[in-house]
Amino acid sequence: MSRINVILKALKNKGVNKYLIKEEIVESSQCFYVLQKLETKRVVETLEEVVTVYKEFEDEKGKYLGSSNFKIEHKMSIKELESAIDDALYAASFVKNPCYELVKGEKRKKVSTKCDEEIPFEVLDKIANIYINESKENVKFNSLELFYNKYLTHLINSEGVNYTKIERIINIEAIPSYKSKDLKTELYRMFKYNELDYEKISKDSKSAIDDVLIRAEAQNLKMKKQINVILKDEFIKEMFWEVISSYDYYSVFTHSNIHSIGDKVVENPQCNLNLSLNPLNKADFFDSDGVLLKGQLIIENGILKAYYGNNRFAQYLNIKPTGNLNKIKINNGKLKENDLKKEPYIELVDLSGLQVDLFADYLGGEVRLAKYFDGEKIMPISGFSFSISLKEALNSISFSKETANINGFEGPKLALIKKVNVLS
Amino acid sequence: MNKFSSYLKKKKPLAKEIVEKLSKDFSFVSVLGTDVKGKNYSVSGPITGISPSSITECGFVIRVYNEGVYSEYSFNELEKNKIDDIVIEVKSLANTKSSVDIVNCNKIIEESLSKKFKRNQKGDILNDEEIINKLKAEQEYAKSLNDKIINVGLAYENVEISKMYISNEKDLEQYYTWINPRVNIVVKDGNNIKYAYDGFGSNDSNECFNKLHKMVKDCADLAIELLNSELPVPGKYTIIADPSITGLIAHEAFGHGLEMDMFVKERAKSVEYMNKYVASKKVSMHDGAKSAFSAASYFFDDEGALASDTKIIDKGVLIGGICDSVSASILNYHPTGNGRRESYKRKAYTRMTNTFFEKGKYTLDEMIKSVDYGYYISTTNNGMEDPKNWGIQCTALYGREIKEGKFTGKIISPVVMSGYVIDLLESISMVSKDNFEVIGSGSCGKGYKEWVRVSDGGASIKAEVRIG
Repeated sequence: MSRINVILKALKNKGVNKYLIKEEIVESSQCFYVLQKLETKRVVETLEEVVTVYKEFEDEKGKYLGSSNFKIEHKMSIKELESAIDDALYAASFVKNPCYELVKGEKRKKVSTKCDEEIPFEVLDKIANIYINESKENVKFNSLELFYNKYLTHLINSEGVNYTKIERIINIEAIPSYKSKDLKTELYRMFKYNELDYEKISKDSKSAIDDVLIRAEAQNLKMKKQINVILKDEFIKEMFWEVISSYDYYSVFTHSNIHSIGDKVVENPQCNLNLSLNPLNKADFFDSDGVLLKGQLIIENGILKAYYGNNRFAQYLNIKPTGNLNKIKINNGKLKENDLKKEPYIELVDLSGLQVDLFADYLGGEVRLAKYFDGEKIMPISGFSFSISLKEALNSISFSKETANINGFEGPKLALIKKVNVLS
Repeated sequence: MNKFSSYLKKKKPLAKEIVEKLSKDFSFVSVLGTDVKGKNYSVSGPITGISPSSITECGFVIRVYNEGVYSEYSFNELEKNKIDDIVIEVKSLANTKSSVDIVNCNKIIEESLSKKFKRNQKGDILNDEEIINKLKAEQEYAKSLNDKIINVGLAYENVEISKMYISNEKDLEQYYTWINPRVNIVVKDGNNIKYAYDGFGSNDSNECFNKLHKMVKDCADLAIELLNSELPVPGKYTIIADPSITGLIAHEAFGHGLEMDMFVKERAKSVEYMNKYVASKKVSMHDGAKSAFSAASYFFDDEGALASDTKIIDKGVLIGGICDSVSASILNYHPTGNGRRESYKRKAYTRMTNTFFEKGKYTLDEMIKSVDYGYYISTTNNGMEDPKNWGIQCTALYGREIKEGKFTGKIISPVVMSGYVIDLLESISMVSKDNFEVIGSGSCGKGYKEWVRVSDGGASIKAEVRIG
């Protein structure tokens, strides 16, 4: 009997009629390189289930649905499972949450991302060689970590949900490092690919090397002024996730949302913001509750059109759930990259971490590498910080016509923000 | 509660059998078994939750050494009838050829040791109902404090950690517990929304709920105060750091740079500064699972190396680093008990544990009185290391303005501090003898992954930093 069937039998024996089971199988092959030499090889093979049990109860104030879950990390006997279910049911009886319905299932479905029959360690070997071939005498990857991960996620609930997705994800952590007699410097790079695309991997490894070469030439410029700042795709993605963070159902339910539907989010005719949330890839067709995922427009022409979030809080708000969507899509702008770069600017290449605080109205961070155009020439600079009110940033932002498509983001390649404070 | 995992106990003979079988082909073999159990109890608005702790794990990782390269197999199904398959899998992995050159690591050398370690949880053993009721009572208390409070979130995470390490030389078992209570309060005044949060760690359930009550009140008061906060004006300022910010600076400024796997990768600038001044003479700094009692106070690390206390900076001079076993084998150094894994599914790296600055000779009051103009900076938000270039970014929730030695009542939020590590550490002009705390509620990543529980802290420091 499969593990899922043993769990279903145990749930039936204990009289549980509302449940959710998430089964995850992980197969991961990993290689770790130090100074471009192999140090460690790893394989991970695991099977785990998370079982959620629900318990309905009521008092004089109304009906409630309690829930609690437990993890199964190795084979358990029916008796052991029944004992774990008893514990979870006991816990659920103290979880007095407002009532909601579990997601009703549609036709049983299984979707897989494109996944050729390859030998994982051969793929990792090929990727390592792509990286090593990009290196030069004074520029190497002092650390390189490669992960070839296959995830199978199977979701079943008591209301007919029975969905499976198989995803193959390549993760790369690379530290391009420059070394000369007088200077040693590095950058941190992390890439995630939902499909194996050697061309894209090669392009990213080359750009990592190019960026660290620029950092080697970067100067610590003394300055304290206001200047236009240009953000690249990954920073635009981070900034807008924070901007929409209070439009999720949970924030709305707890009255922590900054805007309501119909409110103007961005007072900025230059960018005419359209923002939607979408599934991450072809296989990402259901969320952890079993909600079937499709794109959802959140902001249209700068106006908040919809909230987003999971099944439970959607029902508390009496609206249709969007499910948890993980890709943000933003319209591109009208200005070409060259037009954005006509006036003096600082283009951010690498940060210690973008700091965005919606409630404190703050956007800023420490800059590890940037390109500074003073009106005549471009020079690499580092060792300074930038900051601006988030509202002011949104009200002056312009997007490039050129677009980018990276993990979890599709939208303008660049965004320009005016009059940003910089300090070194 | 308060018992080493019966599951690991049952699997120990099988782990020993694997070590024995693989030792016929490999000169070094180890098995780490983990069984981390725990629950996270939460209340937020009208919502209650009881779910497994985020660090729950149960499985095994086998490590073998083969011709200069280490191979590891992580799995979570260890049955007698599967041992031969597991042995074949490990051999196949170890013999997988690569077209890339190898590091040529040395073999890990271990001293024989067989020992069981145990540290029980203190205080009352509470059941699900009692914990949820206590959290709900604190939530009601918080809501009664001010009408502007729109949401109160409270969490109580209780974990039991059982680990065993088996190799040809070692047979180790450890059991310990840890509790993390957390508070998050959101306030609203018109369209102005602000929040405050705090957390701590302990292995005493009674202490947790006693401290939580005060923390709820402090957090609610702070959130209300933050409704009047302003963004800082970018500039260089004198700051006094509270213990959480001192800890964040210690952690980001020097902790990561002294992780000696960074030495192997030539990623650490600190190598060039060994036995040289890197900070003001008032600064001494430690890291180690044994250096303080907090979130990362285990008995042995995930490579079977015993916990220790490493002095990193002594009166301003950089004197030592922390090291995992593989890096130690390459550097001909000794493991310091800092080889840690996010879980059995992940690789071991050199990681910090409990990191802090030692006490100094001033009172906090004397330090505040010494400031002409500056801020008292509190409550860690996040930080980021830059071990090769020694840039530093530390973000705090808020700062209180000090003018001519007195608090003015003005508050700024958030506070993003940045600068060059040496400049910051050399600028430390005072360290407090009071206001010392090592706070066991943090998690630390290496880059943007490999999260492990850590603590950091120390005494208050007075320094010059860039804000904004």
